[in-house]
Amino acid sequence: MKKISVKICTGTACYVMGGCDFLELPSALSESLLTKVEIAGTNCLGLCKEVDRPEELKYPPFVMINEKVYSPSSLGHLIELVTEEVKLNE
Amino acid sequence: MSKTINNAIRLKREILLQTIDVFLQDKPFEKLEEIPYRIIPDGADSYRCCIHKDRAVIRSRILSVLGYGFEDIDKGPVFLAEYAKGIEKRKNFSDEVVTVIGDACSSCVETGYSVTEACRGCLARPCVSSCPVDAISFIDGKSVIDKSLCINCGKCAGVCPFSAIINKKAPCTLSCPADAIVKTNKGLAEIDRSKCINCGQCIVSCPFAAVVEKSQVVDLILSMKRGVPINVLVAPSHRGQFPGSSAQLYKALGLLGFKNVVEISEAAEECAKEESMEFLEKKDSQPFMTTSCCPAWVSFANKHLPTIVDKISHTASPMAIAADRLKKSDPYSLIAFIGPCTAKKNEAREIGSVDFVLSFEEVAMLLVSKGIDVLDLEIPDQENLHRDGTKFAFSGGVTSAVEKFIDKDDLVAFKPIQIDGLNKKNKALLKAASMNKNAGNFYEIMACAGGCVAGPGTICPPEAAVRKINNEK
Repeated sequence: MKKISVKICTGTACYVMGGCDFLELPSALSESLLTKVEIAGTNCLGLCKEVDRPEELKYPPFVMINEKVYSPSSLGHLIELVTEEVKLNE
Repeated sequence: MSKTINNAIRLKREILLQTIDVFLQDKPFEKLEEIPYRIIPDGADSYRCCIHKDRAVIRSRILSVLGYGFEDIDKGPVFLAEYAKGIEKRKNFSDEVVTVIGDACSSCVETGYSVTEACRGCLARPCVSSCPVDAISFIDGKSVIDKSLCINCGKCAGVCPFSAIINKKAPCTLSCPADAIVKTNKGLAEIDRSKCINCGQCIVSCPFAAVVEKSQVVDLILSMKRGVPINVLVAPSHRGQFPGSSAQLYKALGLLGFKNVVEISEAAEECAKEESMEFLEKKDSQPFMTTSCCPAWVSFANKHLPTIVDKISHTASPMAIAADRLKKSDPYSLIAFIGPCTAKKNEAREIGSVDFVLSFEEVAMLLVSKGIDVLDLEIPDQENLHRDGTKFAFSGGVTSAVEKFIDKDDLVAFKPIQIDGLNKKNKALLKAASMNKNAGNFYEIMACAGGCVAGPGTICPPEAAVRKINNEK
């Protein structure tokens, strides 16, 4: 099965607004989940510069899970989002 | 206590960023009034009773970014722009670094002794007879404490055979190592300045983010705008706090407008060397020596453990050593220090050579406001890394740096003890040491558990920061 891609933006704004917490994702996920995802920190995804963002994507940090953009409020929230996506994929 | 990203921290950083934007991008000061409305727009969900209170709290947060405490602001209708204009007139910074936003404090009144479900309503009722102020009565067969009478003496909790009476504490009072937080009769947190050591633990622990520090960031921006040259000292704990390498960060700081960027780990290495010599010199004449680099510890000793003060190393802190040298080579520039520490603000005032103290959080927001992407910067040649100095950033690091400078023959006499955070157990150890019941002869003391990487002004989780420090080439 194709792995779920999780791209964590590490542009300055995303990093300081929580992106650096998100980089701890590999050690926070269960082993079974970990085998199903591919986690990477990336250079600025440029999302903060897009003008027409919906309300829920108003503030960084941004994470892309399989090309869909999210703005998780905490590491726990990100884990929820990833878990959901893995379930959908199965 | 380690902090991880949550709603309160995100909100706090967003307010910091928008406030910095006004000054850095030369917007009229009146724009400050828009921030509460931009962050909490009409129709938004409120965190507190209503969006109006949310906005009032945000306004107070803006004032703390402008460097005002809630003791020194007018309660009347004064525009934020007026406060902003007042910054230029500020002569020096206050010693009272930590301040409570009254509106934000949830006045966790449910503190003090209370009876839990475990109460069996027993026949003996020792709680009633032990209470010196008759505050306990029985309602529906259970013990009830009348809060208006209770003096929080704790006698009832001590005598209850079911341990059904507990002492609830607010997160701020629980986290404070100096017992400096008192609750007013309305339950609001208030800081007892005679006890406060400005360690910032209350800032980290309050889930309402009601405790804040008075920022110096706007003062710095305004000085830069006036063309004042400012050199910057960077604490060893900066690794991991920003994306990219140290070299990229130094370049970013240059782009922000700092004249020269000086990494403190070289001075830290020197501090370790000097401390090792001091240790060898004193080991036979005094029972033990403590480190001096943590300003919250030094303040704690002065205020709460005066008998230990003469055991604190006389070696200056890495910040003081680096600032002193910088002042000599470039006397006409101001000096800013960036680090994770609230107590450094007090140390800076005492030594006099450091003009501004900024947290990593504040510097990060300066970078965001200026649109500087650290990771995108071309990496200049990596400078020499002072590996022993960088270790000052975490608990145990100072000890290992000092140890390196002690000769093999003398090493048998080196008995280090680590005081990792001023918790109850460690405070008891220090108290015992002050009465010469000491287990070792070299005490490394960090007020924050984990060391500077876990300080109140940090951005990134301490484990990640330590990993980055150890991995840097």
